Amino acid sequence: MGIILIMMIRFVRVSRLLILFCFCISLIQSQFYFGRNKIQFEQFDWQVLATNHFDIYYYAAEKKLAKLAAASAEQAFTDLEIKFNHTLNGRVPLVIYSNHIHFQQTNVLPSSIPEGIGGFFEHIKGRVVIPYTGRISDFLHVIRHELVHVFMFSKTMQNIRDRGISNSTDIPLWFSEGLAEWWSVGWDSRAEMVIRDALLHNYLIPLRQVGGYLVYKEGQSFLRYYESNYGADRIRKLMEEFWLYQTFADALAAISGKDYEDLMTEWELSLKQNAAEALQYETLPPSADNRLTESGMNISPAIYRNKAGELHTIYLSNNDGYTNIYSHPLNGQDRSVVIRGERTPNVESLHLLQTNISVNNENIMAFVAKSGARDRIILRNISSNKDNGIYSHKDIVTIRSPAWSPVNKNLVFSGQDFGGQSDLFIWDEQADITHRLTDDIYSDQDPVFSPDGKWILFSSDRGRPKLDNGLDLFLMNLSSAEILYLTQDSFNNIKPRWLSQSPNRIQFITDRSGTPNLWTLTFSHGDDSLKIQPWIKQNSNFHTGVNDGVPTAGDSMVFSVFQNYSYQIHHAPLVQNDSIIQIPLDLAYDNLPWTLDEKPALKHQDKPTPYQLKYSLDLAQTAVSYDPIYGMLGGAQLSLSDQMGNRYYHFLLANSAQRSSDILGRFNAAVTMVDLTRRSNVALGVFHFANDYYDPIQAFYFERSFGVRAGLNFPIHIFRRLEFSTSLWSSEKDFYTGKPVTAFLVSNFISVVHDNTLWFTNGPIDGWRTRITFGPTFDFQRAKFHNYTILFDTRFYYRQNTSLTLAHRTLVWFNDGSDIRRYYIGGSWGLRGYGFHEVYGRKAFMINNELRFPFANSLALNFRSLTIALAPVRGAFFLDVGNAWDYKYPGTLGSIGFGLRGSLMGSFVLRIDMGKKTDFKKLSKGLFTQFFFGWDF
Amino acid sequence: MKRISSKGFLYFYITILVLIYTVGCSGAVTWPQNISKTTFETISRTPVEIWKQKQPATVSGIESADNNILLITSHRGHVYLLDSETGDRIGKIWQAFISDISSHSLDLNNDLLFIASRKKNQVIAHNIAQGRTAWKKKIMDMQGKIVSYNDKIYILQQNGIVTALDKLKGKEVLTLQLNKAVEQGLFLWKNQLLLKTLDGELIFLSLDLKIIKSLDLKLCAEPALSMTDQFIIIVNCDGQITLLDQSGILSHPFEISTETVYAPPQILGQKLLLSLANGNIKSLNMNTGKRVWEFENGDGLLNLPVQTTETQVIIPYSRGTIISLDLETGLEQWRYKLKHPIRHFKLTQMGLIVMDSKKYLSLIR
Repeated sequence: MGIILIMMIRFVRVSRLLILFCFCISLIQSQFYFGRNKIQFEQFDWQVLATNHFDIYYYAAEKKLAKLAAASAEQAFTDLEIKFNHTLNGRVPLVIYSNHIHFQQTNVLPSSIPEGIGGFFEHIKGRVVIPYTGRISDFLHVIRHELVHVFMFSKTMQNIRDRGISNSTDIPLWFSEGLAEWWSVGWDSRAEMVIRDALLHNYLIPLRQVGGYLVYKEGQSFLRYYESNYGADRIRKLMEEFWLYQTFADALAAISGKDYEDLMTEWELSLKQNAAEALQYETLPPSADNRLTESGMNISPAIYRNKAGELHTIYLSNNDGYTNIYSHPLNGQDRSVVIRGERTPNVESLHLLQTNISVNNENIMAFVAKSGARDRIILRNISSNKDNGIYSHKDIVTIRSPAWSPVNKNLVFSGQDFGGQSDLFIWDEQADITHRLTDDIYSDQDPVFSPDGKWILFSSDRGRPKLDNGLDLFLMNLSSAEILYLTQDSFNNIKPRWLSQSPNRIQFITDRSGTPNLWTLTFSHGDDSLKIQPWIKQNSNFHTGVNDGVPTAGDSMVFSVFQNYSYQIHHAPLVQNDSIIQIPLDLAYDNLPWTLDEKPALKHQDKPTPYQLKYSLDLAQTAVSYDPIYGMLGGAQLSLSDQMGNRYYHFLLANSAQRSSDILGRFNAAVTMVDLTRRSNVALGVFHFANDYYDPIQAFYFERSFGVRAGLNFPIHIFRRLEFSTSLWSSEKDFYTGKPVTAFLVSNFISVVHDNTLWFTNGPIDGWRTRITFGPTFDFQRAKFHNYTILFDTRFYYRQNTSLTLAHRTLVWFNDGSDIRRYYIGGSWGLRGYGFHEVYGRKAFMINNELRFPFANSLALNFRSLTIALAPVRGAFFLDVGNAWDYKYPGTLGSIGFGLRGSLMGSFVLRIDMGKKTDFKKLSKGLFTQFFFGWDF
Repeated sequence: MKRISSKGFLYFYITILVLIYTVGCSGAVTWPQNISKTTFETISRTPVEIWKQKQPATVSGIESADNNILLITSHRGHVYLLDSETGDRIGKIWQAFISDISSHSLDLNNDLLFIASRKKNQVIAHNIAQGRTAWKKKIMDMQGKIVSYNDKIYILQQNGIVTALDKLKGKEVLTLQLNKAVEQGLFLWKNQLLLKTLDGELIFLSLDLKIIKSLDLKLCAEPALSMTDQFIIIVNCDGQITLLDQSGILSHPFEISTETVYAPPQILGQKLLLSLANGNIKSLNMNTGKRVWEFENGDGLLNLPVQTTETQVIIPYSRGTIISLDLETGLEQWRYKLKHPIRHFKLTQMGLIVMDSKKYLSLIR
């Protein structure tokens, strides 16, 4: 982001100390040129619970969770200490949030946190930050996963620090994430599903090149194989001796006594062998004939009949990058968008892969959308395409899987309260009353009404002696609130649905066959009581697995199958497996009371203490440089923040003195305080700068300035914000004439920023973003207007299809008055074909147009120890128009051409543009070529 | 006013650097005279800290060669001596390598100190009487420990080459190509060299580098191994306990351990002391295999070798707790807590030498 800021602020003040930029950058961290907002909706009353090895940071509402986290973290610590043969040197700060919406507000990481992030370990202060998502087993898994990272980091860094190694061998991501998965969750049906699919569709990526989510699953799979064939002690040895070798692959080969490539082949062969054995009894995903979707994650289908009586399925899909809700006729081809998600504040997120959709027989669709500080249920009439109502509750933060009652009046859903407890609720739509059905720490999910409306069928981890895995199916009697087991085993039994309005048959998904598949459960059913004699029958036997299944009116099903690294929706009759298995339901566990056994008890006796602000170091660096004109220069920068990352202090100290008598007069010092605690982020700073500068218009001059700065960002919603900043400073400019020009100035800037863009590796591909800034400056000393600045910068991205984007930018700059800043628009990131110093002025306009398209999917340079990937590579045709001037418009300039952009190692974007300049009378001779590192505009 | 010269500043900076390295970190270790072997005394009450000194780097080896002198090697290539009474350094720090010292061996008969660095693939023989390097030798892909015996120093390479060097000149005198990848280095036991192959074999070599026998014990990468005058005892990663003597594998009454074991086991008279990674200590009867006692009230990870005197077992827990048990009964005698995890631990005649994770070396007794 710093690059963007520096490139956008095209003031050609050649500062003697580059670190002065840091003062501008750090004034308010979220004060980036564009970008979405991280909003502090809540003011958390942080407490600290100290255990033997952890400081658990939590807020009062999540006291139960804090105890659970403390016990499981201590248990994981003891286990991992032995697994790693290593102990930690210090205490681990563990910050927990009661739900993902609160977690996204954390300031421990300055950047925005996507929904897919389930927790993180931050290396600078060693903080582990984890949200509770409502399910205890997931919570315990993430705690353990992150602690594996903590132990791994500590163990590997100890070897490096002990030996003072500065250029250590890198530990690849597949190893660190794979081990975190393998030593936390072990092997599970999700990993099995992904690996089987990768083999089936031939996308198992060599570990040297693997990226994205596959890093976790391939790493997990390899280390599972490696541990069982070479032993866990060789994994430990890798972490102890990797620094001896040039590359991690060399270390792996030496410690295994096997050539690296042979090792990879062995692993792949073993995977293929296992998959081939499983395929003898399992089926491949159904044919394309029955497939309704083609690409992306298409999940959570529901069925409805339109006005004409045609059956449709409605489902969530991220096919075009944003998550939307689509409707698709079961016997037709064309799908239509019903809800566009992730572009507007009302539908910030549709919680893909986390929730279901429900449509009643009046074609009112109920779905969940995040908006601001909590989730809401939005009712949408599919026939009229209009909203029919919105539900939210002040005490319920997250909502999942709403389901209509048979009489269309009530919705049952699972929700998390402020403390994170995940329970079942019923919303009586007409009376607008919310009833809480369950009230305990167990996770209750995927509820549905029985066809007679008297029972709630749901999935839950309640009653599990170990809360570390698995979910069972339960029935709740709505009149007595009694909860009864329907299954009682060690598998994940989820997403139950009543079959064909039958009172005693349900369909559900279970991973009892190794991967998630559809099964049917039949049981006898009394009027108000149950006489459970369940039988189960397997309905699908897919090699990879399914995510959902909805019975249609006939014998067919609409279901989503994992295939080719995506979920695709099919409509097909299901081939039923003949084998019938009776569930051994001996009801070994009592139904009540549903209270969690909190063992292992906490050993420590410490009482929680209120959180206290203690600042520790984030950054300390010095910079020494040599300038041919100005000689030796030096400075230091220091940054402190508190444990929650809510308050920062930045210090800057430098001196540009050439003579000892100048030392006091040429001190550059700045202190900035940034407060991110509240919705409005505030920054206050004082500064004193005294430097020599160069400006092409004003030439060389010395300027000494001191004053105060204040900034405030107010996010309207995650896509839009207002920015205010005020500077009050005294300026003394000396053009080496001995007669300095002094001024006492005040500047006030106000900006409106909007950004809802969707990004690809090279830059934005959809949505729009705009910044409008106005800022007048007054001279108090002369009691007159000094200058003003207007900036308008808007960018639109029109996606023609999933791969083709038309990008447009219009930029207008207007600056007038005294001591004005000129804007430079030439260069590869502006008006292409022109030099950076070639086109500038106090007024400027620029229009850039690009047609962006895929050029190459993969381009990689394979070295012995390293693969440099420059992929995917995208091409662009461009047309730029604009000019800059001081007083008289000099005529329009432009350029036209073609360019290529590739993401280098998945991070830096390398761009090359070639084309011809034009004054719109003729084209220039020859081609210009420009290189640039940075994302597309 | 005089302008500050950048060139002058640079010269000054380089001079300071040179001075630091020539005065502070260079030189060589010169050994004091009259060195004798030591015996250990029981620490019968809760010990107290006698001294505590910050070290320049994490210690990789401590050699207590005299009542009053400790030879220290570090992970950053330092070699130096400490007065074990006070913890004060004797003489200068010699930076033998700008890298890890992975193994060392002291030969007081020839006044030679051998140090090896796996990272640098080098062995240095240092004359401690004269304070100078006797010879240096590059050995590629060196593995673990070096062995010094009589007039030779034995070194193992990863590809299975065993080399014997002349101690005084560093010349290669014997070599053996095993054609098997090896790990962990060499051990000396009863005039035999022991080494472990990557596929889990234990190979016995004579001192003239002839294979005496090999046992396919299917050993893992880092089994817990220790030796007495009579036995070799190995606890494999799968918990399998193997007892060997010169005649070969002995039958024994010990059950497979279900717990991870990192610290080497110990045989004391008729007892086998098994240190489990979870911190428990088991004392087993050598004849019956039955448990004599088990200590369960430890403090987490145990991966450093326990130390014994005639009547007690002293257990260093990684988290920083040291516990003493009565060898006969397994009853706790005392417990001492350090502020930081323990990285190195050695029982000497002067008491317990402990290095913590903050690079403080202390003597407690």
